[in-house]
Amino acid sequence: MAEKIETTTVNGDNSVDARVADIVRKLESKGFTIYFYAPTMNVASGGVGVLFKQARILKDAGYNVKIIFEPKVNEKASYEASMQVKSKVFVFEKLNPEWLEFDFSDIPLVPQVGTDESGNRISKINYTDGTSQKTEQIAISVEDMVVIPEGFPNIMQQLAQSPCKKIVLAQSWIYVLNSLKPGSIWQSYGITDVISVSDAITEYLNSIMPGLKIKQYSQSINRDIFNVPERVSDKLPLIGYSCNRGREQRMKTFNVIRNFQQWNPMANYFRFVELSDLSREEYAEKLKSCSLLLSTDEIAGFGTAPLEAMASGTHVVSWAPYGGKEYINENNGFWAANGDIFNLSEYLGLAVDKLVNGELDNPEIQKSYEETLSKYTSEGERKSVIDMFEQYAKERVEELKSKV
Amino acid sequence: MKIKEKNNDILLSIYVDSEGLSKTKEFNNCIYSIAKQNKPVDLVVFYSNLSKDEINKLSSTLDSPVLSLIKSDEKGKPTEEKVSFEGNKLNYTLVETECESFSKLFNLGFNYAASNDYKFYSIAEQGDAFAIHWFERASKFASEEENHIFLPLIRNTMNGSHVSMLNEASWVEGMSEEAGITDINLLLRFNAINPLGGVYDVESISEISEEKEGFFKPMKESMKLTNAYEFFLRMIYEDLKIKTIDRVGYELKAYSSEVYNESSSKIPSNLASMPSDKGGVSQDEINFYQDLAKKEYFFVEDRCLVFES
Repeated sequence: MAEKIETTTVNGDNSVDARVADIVRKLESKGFTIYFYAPTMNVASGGVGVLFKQARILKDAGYNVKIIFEPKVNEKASYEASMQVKSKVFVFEKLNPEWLEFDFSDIPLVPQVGTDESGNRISKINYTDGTSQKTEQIAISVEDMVVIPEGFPNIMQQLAQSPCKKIVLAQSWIYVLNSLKPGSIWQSYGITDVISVSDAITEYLNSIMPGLKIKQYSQSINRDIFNVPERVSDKLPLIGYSCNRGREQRMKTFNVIRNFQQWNPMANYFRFVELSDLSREEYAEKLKSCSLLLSTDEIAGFGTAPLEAMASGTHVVSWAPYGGKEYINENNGFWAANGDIFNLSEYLGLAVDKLVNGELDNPEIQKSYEETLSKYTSEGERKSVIDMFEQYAKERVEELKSKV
Repeated sequence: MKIKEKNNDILLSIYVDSEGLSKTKEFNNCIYSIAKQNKPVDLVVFYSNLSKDEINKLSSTLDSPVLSLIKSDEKGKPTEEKVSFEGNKLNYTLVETECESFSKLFNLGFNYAASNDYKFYSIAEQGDAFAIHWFERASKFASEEENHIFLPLIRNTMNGSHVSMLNEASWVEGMSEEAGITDINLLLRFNAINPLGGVYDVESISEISEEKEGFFKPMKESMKLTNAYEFFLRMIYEDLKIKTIDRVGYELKAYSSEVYNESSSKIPSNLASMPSDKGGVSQDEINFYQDLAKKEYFFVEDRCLVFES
């Protein structure tokens, strides 16, 4: 369905020097566009959240930012619409991450769709919510930058010949090689620039694709919504959990819960609360009322949920995922061996025992959480994003000048 | 009913007899856990039939309790370690009494709290123990929530083994309408709460208690066995809110015994098989008082209905 993204070059004086000077001027004056390719996901996702957050920060810093996405066809709605008009009609799912805790209405979301059955470019698309949107054939210029999530080598391939700056946003280690053809690496698509969201991903990428130019993005926890409740009585004997990674994770999570319940019958008054399909505000509110967070994300590329829990005064009982290695320590959670169901079940029992005996009410524990969180501030995140893209612009200028 | 010196806003009462005092280690551990509270409380100690030596022993324990801990040595062999109390001395008042039933002792302590303007009242039994954070946490909850009685989660032990939790039912899913608050439906289905270690708002309870010649009777003294149960039913019926705080605040220590002493709220499971001269009560009488509690909570005054065989 997706059409190939086209690229154009700058018009004007045709001399190479003049063209380069024009590009340099644009790069130095934020006169270029940063495109973010976003997967069409409307359920709360940390990865999509990071992508939109970077777009938000850059937009606020005066950059031109656009989010491009490939809307998914909704087969049922398409069938029903086709039956009504007696010809083939496509109805699409709209990208609308309304669960985000910040406004993104001023950032253009540009749908990319291919051609209809007759081979004509689709100029207008209808969404399942009854709205429609004109499609826009985007023209990516030399000075522009495109940010592509790590799991979309098809987009990397489409842009392989484009002279624009291509940057991979690597948020997960598990999709990196799984999504690539055997033997392929990102450099095969002319990509060497990578934004990594954690030390673990940087380490992993350096081990599998040496030579990448990796910049580190500093995550943040939004302390406006993730904070410790003022009243001690607002914390309840609740254990939050979420299973956003599909059926296998759900099965393992429930196995941990059942083991815990069987091994700790005297803790049967603890209730388990699923923290899924919620807006960020709702998620933060529920997390805040939980005494413990049971985190079963084995493949997290970074893992913000444990940090959000710490910020909410909610103690973490979790597998120690590779992605969290930069912040996991013995003082900020109950970290079981990654993937070990029995170990995690035991740790949950241990955490509940310590909790009901008041051992986790010690203010020193929250202090150690705050120490961990001090590395993940909104200001640090904003600075890291702006610094990265300023640097990309400078590097691009140097690159172009050196070619001339 | 004068307390020696009022230093705190919680008055805790405890009844001591020769038997409790003779269990030196358990009694010391109990007093140590009271003296060590993060938020100090005042203590009124009721006693009866103690010799002079026993009163001296009692005073000495109250002044400087010693905690006994069982630890393992390098070879894994259990050894006992003694820890002397350090810190501010417990503020206590000794009172000799003839009251020997739990409901009378509860009421007596309550009246000491009321007549000395304490905000909260609590009751413990000799040989049990508090978690050192209990009164601090209960006070925090009391400052944040408009509930009238705060109960701890109780670790219930039998002969030293942890056998169950008490007071937790209101947190169990589907058991009460408001999580953590014991309501009448829950309590009518299960006699699931225990008065020990609870923190009781003196003013609210005074307002809805029977009063005779300036003496409040929150618990019905004529009612055997189920006086605490009837008390809680009546408190809820009178719109007081009972909250269980989700932390273990009290350890109830029960031991197998062939004797039942009415000064304790701990009803032995073998009560019906005990001979009456050892405090035993027939199954019919037990059933009578269980039914009576469910009928009498509508009445503030004690109608003195008793079992007739």
